[in-house]
Amino acid sequence: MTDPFAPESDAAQPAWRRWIENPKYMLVLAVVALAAGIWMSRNTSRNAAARAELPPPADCRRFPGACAKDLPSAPPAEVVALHAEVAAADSAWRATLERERRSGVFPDKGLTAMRDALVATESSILDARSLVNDAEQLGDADARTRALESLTVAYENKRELLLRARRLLEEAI
Amino acid sequence: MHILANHQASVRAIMSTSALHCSHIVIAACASLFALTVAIGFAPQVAAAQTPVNASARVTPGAVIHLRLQSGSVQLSGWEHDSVHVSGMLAPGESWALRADGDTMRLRAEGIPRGLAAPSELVIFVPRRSVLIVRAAAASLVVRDFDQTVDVATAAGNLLVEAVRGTVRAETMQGTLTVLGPIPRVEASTASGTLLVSVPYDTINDTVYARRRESAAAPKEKPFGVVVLRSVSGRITFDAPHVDSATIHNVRGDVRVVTSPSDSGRVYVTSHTGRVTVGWTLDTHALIDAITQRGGMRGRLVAYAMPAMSGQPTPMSGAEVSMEVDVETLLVKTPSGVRVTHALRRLPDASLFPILIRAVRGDIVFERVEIRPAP
Repeated sequence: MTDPFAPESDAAQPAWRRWIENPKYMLVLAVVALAAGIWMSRNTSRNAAARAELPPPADCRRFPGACAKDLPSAPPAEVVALHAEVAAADSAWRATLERERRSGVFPDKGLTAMRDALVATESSILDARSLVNDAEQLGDADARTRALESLTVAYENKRELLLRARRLLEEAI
Repeated sequence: MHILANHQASVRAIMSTSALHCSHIVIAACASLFALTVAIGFAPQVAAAQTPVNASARVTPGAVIHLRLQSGSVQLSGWEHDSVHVSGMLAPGESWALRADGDTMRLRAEGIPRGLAAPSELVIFVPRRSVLIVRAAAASLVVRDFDQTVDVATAAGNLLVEAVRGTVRAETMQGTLTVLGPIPRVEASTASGTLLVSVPYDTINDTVYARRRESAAAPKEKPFGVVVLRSVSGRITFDAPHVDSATIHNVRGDVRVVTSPSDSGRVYVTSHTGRVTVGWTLDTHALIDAITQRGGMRGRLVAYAMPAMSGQPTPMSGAEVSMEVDVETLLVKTPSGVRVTHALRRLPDASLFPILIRAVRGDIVFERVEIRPAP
């Protein structure tokens, strides 16, 4: 009669059981899992950093014209100066943001709000430009004037946002 | 026999698995208990790590007060003395510095605050007649009772500014910004935070209440001279019986305006995709000119004349007759959108000043507002 509480011999155990009870295998498995974890987290961080560096996508749902395919690359002649002004303000903001990354004093939620605001203002500019383009294609002077007014306001909104945020960031640093 | 052996093996496997599960549960329970003990044990020490501050300094009359803060909550009030006084608790890792720098008194919270459990909580008094400049990273501020210019900005945090007799410039990127007048000039902006500028009305859940005055015999004060409000996605609410000039820009947030331009005044509102609501009372004295390019218009307006298809209203017979009409009957459709130009007073009236609304894809809504007594 076999003692039911006698320890089981190794040979009687299933292979998987022998494998997981072997400390050498478990050690190897832990090292592999650790390496995989480090690799995956590095990859995730890289993806997040890459996403942060990419120009933000336009908000096509709220600003349908922002994703219009037939949008000319150059802005209308009436707003070229304003376009250049906004581009300069954007460049100055990015330079300040780069300095801020090293100091880290600006709160993340402030930066997130700023990123969302930049997406919205840029989308509104593209949307207004698409309206100008539509009016030009229809040959409607009145609609074009109205759309140009909206475009001017959209540029001014973005310029003001960039100037305010940059001032705030510089004074916080 | 073979069946018995298999059964014994199963029993052993179950017992060892159960033991394994039990040991996991015990370990998890012990870990939770340990974490809880550590949290409870250390919490008072974290709170105790806040350091008290109680500092004062003399200030040259007329000096500019420049205050720089990191985080926490700060109440900032003007007082009659030519001195500054700071009291309260500082977050761990922060220290406090007061320094006279020519005609400027600099107050500064230095260092990086550690942890969220013990933020700074400060009460600061500065001379009421000094110009005040405040810069904060993530502090929430209450600023009240100043005679001179107040310039306050925080990257993320709520701001409340009230009882300021000078110009106010206030901005926050992410928090709620409230400015309560009367204030001669206001420039206020947010990126995503709600922005409320009001006096002497309070708006609570879209109901407008007349604020209580300290004295019923007080002269009727002018609520606002010039108002410039900007946001990108925050809701903007501007309530005031009248204003000299108001300019309000929003991109995708909603705007609600209940006001009447004063003599030679103008109210100019733009919104790209947000809804613009114009609230009017029977005292509103203005010519509304509203255009939306891709949005719609709805609501009701008071009419002292019969709307006509030509866009030129015909005066109604009977001097005191007025009625509310659906805005649909007033709007003119053009290739560049829909437009309503309508006088909120009996015609002809040469002294009407405009409320200009310009929306791109946002709707424009007109609604009559009842001003209720303060609750």
